[in-house]
Amino acid sequence: MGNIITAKNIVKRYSKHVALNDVSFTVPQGTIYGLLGPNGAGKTSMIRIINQITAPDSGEVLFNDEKISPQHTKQIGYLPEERGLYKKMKVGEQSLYLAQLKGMDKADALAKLKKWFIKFDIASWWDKKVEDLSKGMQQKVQFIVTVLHEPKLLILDEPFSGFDPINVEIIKGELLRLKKEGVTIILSTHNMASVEELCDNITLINQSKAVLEGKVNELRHNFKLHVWEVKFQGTEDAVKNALHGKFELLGLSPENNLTVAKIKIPEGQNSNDLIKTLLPSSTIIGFSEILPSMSEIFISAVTKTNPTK
Amino acid sequence: MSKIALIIQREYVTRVRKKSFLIISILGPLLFGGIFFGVGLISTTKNENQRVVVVDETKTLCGILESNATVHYDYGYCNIDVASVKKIFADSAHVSVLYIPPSEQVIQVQLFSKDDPGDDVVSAIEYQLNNTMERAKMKAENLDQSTIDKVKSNIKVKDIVNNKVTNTDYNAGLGYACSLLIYMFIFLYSVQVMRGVMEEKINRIVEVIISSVRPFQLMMGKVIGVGLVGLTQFLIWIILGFGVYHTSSAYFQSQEINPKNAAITQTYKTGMPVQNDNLNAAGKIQKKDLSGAFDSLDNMLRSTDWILVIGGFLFYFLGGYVLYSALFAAVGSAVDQETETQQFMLPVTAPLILSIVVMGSIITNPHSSLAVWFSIIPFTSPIAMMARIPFGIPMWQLGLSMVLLIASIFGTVWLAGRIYRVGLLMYGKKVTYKELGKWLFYK
Repeated sequence: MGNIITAKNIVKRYSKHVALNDVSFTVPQGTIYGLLGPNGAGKTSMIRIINQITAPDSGEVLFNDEKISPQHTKQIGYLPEERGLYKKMKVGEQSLYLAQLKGMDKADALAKLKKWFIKFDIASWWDKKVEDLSKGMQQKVQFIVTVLHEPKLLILDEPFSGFDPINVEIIKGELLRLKKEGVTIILSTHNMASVEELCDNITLINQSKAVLEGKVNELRHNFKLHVWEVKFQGTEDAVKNALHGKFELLGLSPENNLTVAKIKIPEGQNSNDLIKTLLPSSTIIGFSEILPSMSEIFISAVTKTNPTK
Repeated sequence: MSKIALIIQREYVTRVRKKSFLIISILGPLLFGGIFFGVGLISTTKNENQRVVVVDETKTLCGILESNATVHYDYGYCNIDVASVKKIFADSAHVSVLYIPPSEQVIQVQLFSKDDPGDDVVSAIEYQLNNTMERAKMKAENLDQSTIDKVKSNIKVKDIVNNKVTNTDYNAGLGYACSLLIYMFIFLYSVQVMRGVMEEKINRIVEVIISSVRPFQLMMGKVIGVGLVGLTQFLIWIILGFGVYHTSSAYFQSQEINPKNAAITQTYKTGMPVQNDNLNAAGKIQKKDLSGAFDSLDNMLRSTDWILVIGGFLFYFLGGYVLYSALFAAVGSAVDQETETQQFMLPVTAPLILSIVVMGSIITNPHSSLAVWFSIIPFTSPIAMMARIPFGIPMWQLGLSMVLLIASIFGTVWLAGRIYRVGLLMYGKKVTYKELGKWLFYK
């Protein structure tokens, strides 16, 4: 399958700063793509360019290999980070209005809205004013309106903020279901756990530049620090003595009747060497490599490109 | 339905359904009608008159001046010295002491009061004194009433423009009313557009919407939708206002044909009392006056080119509204809070306020160069031109003014659209004019 979005050398300047400096990336169709980066890095500028809310100063965005144009807006669903609703308008009426603005006809929109409202358990709120809804309910309405017109591409900016853990799980489930149906999702979030859980690929933007791009699995492998976790039966001293001078012991902690050690394997050695070293002094119960979390990768990539900090 | 039609529909429906729309639609004309009615009622039923204690040292006017609706003369202190009379009434409200010193000419008349009795009282006294003295002098010169009537003249200038009888006061009134209405509507509804823009920005719904429609569509949808609300309200006002005017004027007509009321009105107007036996005559005179007034009103209404006035009103009302509401939309988009609108409101509204300020001068002299320029320059023309149209204006001026207004609507809407699309997404910082300028050139 091809790429649904191709961003080529995007540059966006504002009066006092450069928001995006030569950013390129591709979003493969049918995947969940994480757009990551610290606050003010340029993520929102990038998202607004894909949504054609603003235009880049140079560079271009392709949608399914065509230059992106207003006719593509009905194939895109966008949930901005700063999202609101008309407070004085009724929930149903407002949802219908927003759906029609996306190009849906009224009857179709009404039928689909009813289904979603039942699914999300907010059908009884149809005739209530938005100001009477809790924040979580407003978020549900916004999510429904974003996906209602069955877009091929969903762009979600911090979709989980404002939701309680139960609703976060509901939304995650919906995203995975949509992905299964072939929808591509661009996810911008600071919640690194959900990135690990959901995203196939990511791009990390820092200080207006794309500093890291790739598959989540591969990135975690590429960034690994060769630290292993070993569970064993035996005395701590025996293990310490065995490792001494050969492997770096990063930590020891008891777990039930066992002991868990974190051990770094130096360059030139491999996991077999570690096992060989440990075998004489202890009984190994478990042995696994610790991959860095996305959060650790994020922090290390950002600090690497921020030399001043 | 196209997207812009959807936006127009939402803007229109949500506003028209509001209770405040209904209240203003009904209360507006009632309020205006009520003010007219109230003023009419007060002036026809005025019965609280000023007590004027007369101290007359000439001994000629005691009991001569007659009390009326405005002034009640008290002759009980006529021969007491003025200083002690003044002392008696020093602390009484609504009492004046009229002191006529010993003199053959009666020129040094003084009126002492605790509080200002007002122009009406003073003029009524002056009128009666002068009138009485005049008659006394004429009598002394042996002139009889018929001779006096003969020498009196009553010249009225008939104003004929383009072979039509017109009335300058009436034209001025019509011009003033049209301009004021346009001014009011531009302000009222442009501010509504601004509020609407700010609501969407502050609510943060705007980003959702402009991912579906272009910002320009959203802005124009709002401008058109609110403009239609204005037209609707205007229509309701005309219908209701006509009804209220009709009812209240019918009420006053029936009141004035009643002889007693007519006498009071006449007394009030002339400051001269009407004797009881003359009441019926006064009623007839009033009735004749009224039908004469209606005839001349009818003539005046006929003298107006209504197609031009109504056409001009609609054109300048809509043109002026679109011009200003686009600017107000830009202002609304550039700020985060209502209080920040002030700095941008002033330059936007300055031409509007200026045209109201010079309107008096335009109406007294509708063909001066000031009037001509103000009615051609687009930002003041909606108000200034409407003030001039009833007087009759050269067609080339009207044409030029309209063309310039349309051209500047395009310019302003474009400009406002550029600011609007950037302003909508700018949060948290105060915007300067320099920055607004830069926004125009953002891609």
